[in-house]
Amino acid sequence: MRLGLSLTCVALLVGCVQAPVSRPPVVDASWRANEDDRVVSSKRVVPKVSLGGKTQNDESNKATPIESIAKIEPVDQPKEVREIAPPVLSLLEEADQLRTAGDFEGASARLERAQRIAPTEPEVYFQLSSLRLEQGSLEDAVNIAVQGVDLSGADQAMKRDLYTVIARAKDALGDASGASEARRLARASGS
Amino acid sequence: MDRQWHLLLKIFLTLLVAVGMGLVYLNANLIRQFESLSWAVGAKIFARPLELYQGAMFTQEQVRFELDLLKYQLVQGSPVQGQYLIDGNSLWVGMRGHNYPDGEEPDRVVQINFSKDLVEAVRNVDAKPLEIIRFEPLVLAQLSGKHADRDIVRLSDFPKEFIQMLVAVEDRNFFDHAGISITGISRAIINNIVAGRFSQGGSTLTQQLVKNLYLTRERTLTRKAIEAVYAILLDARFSKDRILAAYVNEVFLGQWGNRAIHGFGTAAQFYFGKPISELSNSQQALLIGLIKGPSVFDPRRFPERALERRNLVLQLSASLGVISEQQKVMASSAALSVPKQPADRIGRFPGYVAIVRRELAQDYTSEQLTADGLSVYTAFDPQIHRGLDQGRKNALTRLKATGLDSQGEVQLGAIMVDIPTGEIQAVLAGRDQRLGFHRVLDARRQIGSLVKPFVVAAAIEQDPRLHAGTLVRDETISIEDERGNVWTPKNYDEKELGIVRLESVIANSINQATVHLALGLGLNRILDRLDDLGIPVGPTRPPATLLGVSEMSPYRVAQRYQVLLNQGHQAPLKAVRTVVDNAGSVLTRRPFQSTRLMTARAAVQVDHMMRVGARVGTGRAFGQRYTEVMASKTGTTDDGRDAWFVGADGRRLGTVWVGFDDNRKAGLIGSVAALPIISDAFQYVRRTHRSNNLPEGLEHAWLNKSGQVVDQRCQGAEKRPLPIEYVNAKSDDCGSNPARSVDGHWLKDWFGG
Repeated sequence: MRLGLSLTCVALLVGCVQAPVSRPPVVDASWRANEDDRVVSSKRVVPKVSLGGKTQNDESNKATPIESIAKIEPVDQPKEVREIAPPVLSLLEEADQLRTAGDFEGASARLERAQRIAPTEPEVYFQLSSLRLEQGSLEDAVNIAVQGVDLSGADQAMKRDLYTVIARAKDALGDASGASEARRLARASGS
Repeated sequence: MDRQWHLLLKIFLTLLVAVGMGLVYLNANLIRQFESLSWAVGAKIFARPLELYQGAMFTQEQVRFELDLLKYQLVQGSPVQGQYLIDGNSLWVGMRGHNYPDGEEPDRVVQINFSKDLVEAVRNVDAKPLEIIRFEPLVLAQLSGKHADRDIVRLSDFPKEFIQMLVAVEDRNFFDHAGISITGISRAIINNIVAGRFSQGGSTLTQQLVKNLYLTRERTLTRKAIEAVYAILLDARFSKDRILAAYVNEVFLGQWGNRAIHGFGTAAQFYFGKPISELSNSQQALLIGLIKGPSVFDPRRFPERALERRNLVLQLSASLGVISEQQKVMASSAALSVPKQPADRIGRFPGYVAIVRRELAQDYTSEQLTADGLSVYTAFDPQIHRGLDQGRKNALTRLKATGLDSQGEVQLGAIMVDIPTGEIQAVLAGRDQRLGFHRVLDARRQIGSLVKPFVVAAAIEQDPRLHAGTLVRDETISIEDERGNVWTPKNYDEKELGIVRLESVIANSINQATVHLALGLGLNRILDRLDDLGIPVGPTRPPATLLGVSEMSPYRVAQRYQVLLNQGHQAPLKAVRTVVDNAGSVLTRRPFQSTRLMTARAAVQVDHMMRVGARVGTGRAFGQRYTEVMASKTGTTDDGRDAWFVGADGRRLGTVWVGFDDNRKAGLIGSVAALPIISDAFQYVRRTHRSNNLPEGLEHAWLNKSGQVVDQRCQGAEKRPLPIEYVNAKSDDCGSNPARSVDGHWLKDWFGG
């Protein structure tokens, strides 16, 4: 838990270095990036749900955020930028604190408020699906992550993280082939 | 002698025991009865809270609209709690706090800055920015179970001076006596002797309550005695507040036909159309004056007597110091302000509340719902309701004016849904506030052309090579129907177009092409898929299902379209977000859920075809009204019995049905009778573009008139989301070569050529 939070802080810090004035930009879903384009995902600066918590493999937990921090690179003049609005960020942060404290219902309520404000923001779906995974609502975790994938547009890193949630949920559901397919898609997105 | 005394003593003792036992029995019975009375305030149903933050899409006018609904008072000086001040582009508001299930919102003064049509900033009094604020939610309704025809009001919700006036006028010693008042009774006895008959009560509030609850209205000495005994027993057993709480909700205050008006909450609505908390002193005094004789002092029948009686109450209250002399003078000069007709006591949002009740009935018994203090938080959005209701009024006026509804009988059912969450934001159950038949939930009507997007979606799922530009034959077609008869569907305008693009099947709602399409892919497979998608096909599986003979409620239609317009993800429709008990703990939270029911590839392409429909097709009166990208579908059934319209922006989906309850031939048309209701509703809400986000497998490309992918510079080329495989097969010229690759070979298969 503690590790998850400290990683969050690192992520926030990096976010600040990247864009001292406002939140770092995010490529809009409608903008089609080239294969080679690096897309800065808004989720770098929001608290990341540490997927592991009590039940998950810790190594993979650590890996995801560190890896994504390392990947942040400037974007060449995206046509449109999207950023996560401050109220959404603050709700995501609150949700993260509650989740860490074990108040899953409270966290869920915050995330759903965030969803009402930003219903097409894939980060919200990522956080919600991660929470459902941690709560043990595995089917819901898969379904919400799948919806997140559809909303991710060109944000490959986001897709990878969502497929990772799907893979873990499918593992827990005992669906080995589904899990390995999700892992394959995660790898294909993460390039 | 001794024996005789002995006998008398025996008789006396026996009687004493009998009376004693009788009293014990009476007492137990009375207490049981009293306790079983429920003066509990039923579940309170709340609207969604108004949430404001930097960038929130609200204009100053919209926020003021909500402040007015919440009864904030417009002031000129610094606002305190419950007041607001307009200061150029900003509002200063003394917010009332609210204890939400996910945290408390404090009382505080805030400044909200608007810039054009957005909230630019929210700050506290120290000019410190606030991330997000939530106003207290509007109360939509208060459920009262046992007394369905009463507005039960908690004692604590009465204005303090109201209770003081009541006690001053009716029973000055209420808080001190033991249920009956010796002075009151003595006075009554003397007066009765003077009058020579039994006429005056001298009853305490407790006695009046007993009379109302347990006894008949006859005036006899025996009844008076029993009443006194009961009153003493009640007073001994229950607190003054409990007795008072029962009294204020039980007292008889009027008669309307065969309906008795009991309780001040009900009376406040009946005489003034307002909740008790909003009555002026003069209105309060009028209600209190009615206790003495609801028919004698009926303000509708005898306004002068009622006025006189009211002023007497005010006079008495002032003389006892309950109200000031100045208040008395003010209130006494006020007009009666009683509308001739009693206000309809159904709440303002009966259609929505009925949906809430039905959802609650799944999780709670009616006892739980009428138990004290349940709070139900819903997604009801007052802004959207306002829009929908305006659309309703305009439509009724128009339908009457055009002669389609000369008798004022046309009905409608409308529902607005938040697409990503499935939350129900507003509902109209009928043409007016009377809540009988709920047309959104319970009407089953043929859906007509509303089925077409589902036929096309099912087709695309069957064959992923289909896309907006795929050519489909539109010619006369005859097939055998479920009864073995020949079925030859006609286009709406009875014209044939020969060959049309797939998107026109939806955008221009073309019947014959729809049937060609389904037959080309296999009627049974398409019907099976329609059934999976929630369009009921029924055991006889009529091919006319393709053109919408399935009967559905507007609610179910909205759910189906929610999936279609949400990239194929179903979020179950819901009105209730959270239920909280008396102590503030969450009983039910209905979490966000989502299930894929349709491929994103099919859903998004159909969604775009509906956008063409809104821009240049059957829904153009809707789509062209707004600058935002919208999507829509119209529906009309045989002989114009049903008119349907589904319209959506980037966020919301509106579904409306218009028709007659007896299913008569009515000449109604979806794009004429139904469309404007949803169109008007969107006038009042903040619209957003439908999203251009595409799922895996689709890409934007340019299509020419004959459905080929061409360069965007080609004349008449239009941007559409298309399957990547097809985009890659782009034509080098502007499509001078005839149809190619993907479609070529299989077009033949089922175009019969």
